[in-house]
Amino acid sequence: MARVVILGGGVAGHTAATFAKEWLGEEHEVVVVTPDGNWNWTPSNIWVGTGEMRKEDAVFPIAPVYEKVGIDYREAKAVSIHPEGKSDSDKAFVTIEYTGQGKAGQSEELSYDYLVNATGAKLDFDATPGLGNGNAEPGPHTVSVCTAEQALHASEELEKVMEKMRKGQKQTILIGMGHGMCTYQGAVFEYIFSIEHKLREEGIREYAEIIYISNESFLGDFGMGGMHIKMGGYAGSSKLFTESLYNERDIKWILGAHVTKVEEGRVTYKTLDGDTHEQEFDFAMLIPLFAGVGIKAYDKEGNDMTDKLFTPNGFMKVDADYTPKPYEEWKASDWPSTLQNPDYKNIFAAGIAFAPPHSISKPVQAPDGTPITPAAPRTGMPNAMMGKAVAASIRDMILEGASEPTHTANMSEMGATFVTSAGKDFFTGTAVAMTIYPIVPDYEKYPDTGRDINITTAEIGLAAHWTKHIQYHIFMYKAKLLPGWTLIP
Amino acid sequence: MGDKYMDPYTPKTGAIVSLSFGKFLRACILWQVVRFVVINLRMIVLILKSKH
Ligand SMILES: Cc1cc2nc3c(=O)[nH]c(=O)nc-3n(C[C@H](O)[C@H](O)[C@H](O)COP(=O)(O)OP(=O)(O)OC[C@H]3O[C@@H](n4cnc5c(N)ncnc54)[C@H](O)[C@@H]3O)c2cc1C
Repeated sequence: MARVVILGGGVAGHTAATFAKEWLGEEHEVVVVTPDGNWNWTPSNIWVGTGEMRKEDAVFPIAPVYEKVGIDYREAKAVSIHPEGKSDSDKAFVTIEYTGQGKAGQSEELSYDYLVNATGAKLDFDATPGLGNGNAEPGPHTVSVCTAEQALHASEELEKVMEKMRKGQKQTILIGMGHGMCTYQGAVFEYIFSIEHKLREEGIREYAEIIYISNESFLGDFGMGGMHIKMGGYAGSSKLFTESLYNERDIKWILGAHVTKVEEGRVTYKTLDGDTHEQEFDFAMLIPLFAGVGIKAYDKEGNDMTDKLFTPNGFMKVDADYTPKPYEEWKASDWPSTLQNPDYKNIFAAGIAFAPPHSISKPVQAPDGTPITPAAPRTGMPNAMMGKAVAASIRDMILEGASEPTHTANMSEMGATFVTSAGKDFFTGTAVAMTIYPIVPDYEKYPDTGRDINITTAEIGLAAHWTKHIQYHIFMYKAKLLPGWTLIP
Repeated sequence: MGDKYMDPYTPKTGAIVSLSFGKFLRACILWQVVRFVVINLRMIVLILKSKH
């Protein structure tokens, strides 16, 4: 009997665990270690954050789902990995610390035959002075929509400024990136349009000045260096499309910005030209910097070898080409395929937890060297595909004795879809549907624009909004492992 | 077309401007049913191309 331990029960970890169990059956053990008792469909946090959806509708308890299919669930967080075992045993193990199940605070050693690190990101609010509370959570001045709980708080704070607008008071709403190296521009795009839509529907739009602040050097970069889409007989930049949407909704933008300080009602930021500016706000939602969750690694003698498994910012090293090289020399082939750790062949990473070789957007910096560049996008669909590919490789290694991973999930060979909605009503809401293939542009395969122009598209309308609704129901159904879940792509 | 799009020499100048027919189509149920099919077919193609 083999034991597969999955660290993290988010999009990537849940997908890896459920497929691994489905394929490996009763003879092998699948253990999920994750600190949250609830599973969250994060795209719906936008609806929660505007008060359009109850938090309870974006989450569900995970324990009964795992119990139903025989997955061993530990409500705990991984603290350290010991791939060589310890002095008196060669058996690899992880140390976990319980956060629930009546054992909060207790530690345990959990041995594994195969390990999948799908721990996502630590939301590093404290990397920006004043953005955090010193405990990797949002501070008192701004809100976040990264978790359902944070989104609920955001909706309560939004309601307070809306109340002032209803009384005729002008309010400034600032939404964007809380650090020069953030990602998640797509989620922010959705939140800003959702707020704008809500204010218009309430008839109080005229009382709000809405401002987008971003580390992108052009609007529509989205951490992917932008994309080209068909426009008549031309391929036009996503910059044109995105600027058009912002103009149409009278949303102002600040680009090339690294937020250096957050205070009550004010952010200070540095721009690419080296200048420092301030922006006042009444309501601000700022995304934090992402880092790895801080798991340590030790060798057999107990010496710290965290830097062997993880990059300095805490993401796990996999089969990527991490050689530092200039932007002009970046290639699609730098990106990892099997997601296997090069030193320990029974360790894999999936989703946000793997270390990308570099960003996709061109790295730029302020004159003093401060980098102001979006990190590579970390969207749900490819993360789920990584979880499934890793589970399939492990299945083949266990059941067929494969010596190498048999499946790949490479961001230069995978597409992404973003459906960013505004409003929730089936007929008055709207959305932008974007499809991008591949995520990492490949100029060797697609010399014109780096991407397949037939499926790299963006359009706005009700159809995209309906797609968002349907995705919510389908993916919640799939995550709950209801009948036929394996058939859902 | 509102004049807010036409401020020359501002960041707004370079953007494409949505015209009234395009805006009508965004909410036209019949057209959107067609687009719904197209968007979802496109997503299926994208998923199939992404499988390895
Ligand atoms: C508001 C919002 C909207 C979004 N909208 C979209 C969208 O429309 N489309 C899209 O494709 N993507 C969207 N995304 C992105 C998508 O949510 C992420 O790509 C996806 O959640 C990442 O999956 P993951 O499994 O890598 O990480 P996560 O989903 O973050 O999962 C990581 C898991 O690991 C757990 N964990 C953390 N530390 C430890 C530890 N030490 N030990 C064990 N477990 C640990 C966490 O609790 C969590 O359960 C959105 C994100 C946000 C925040």
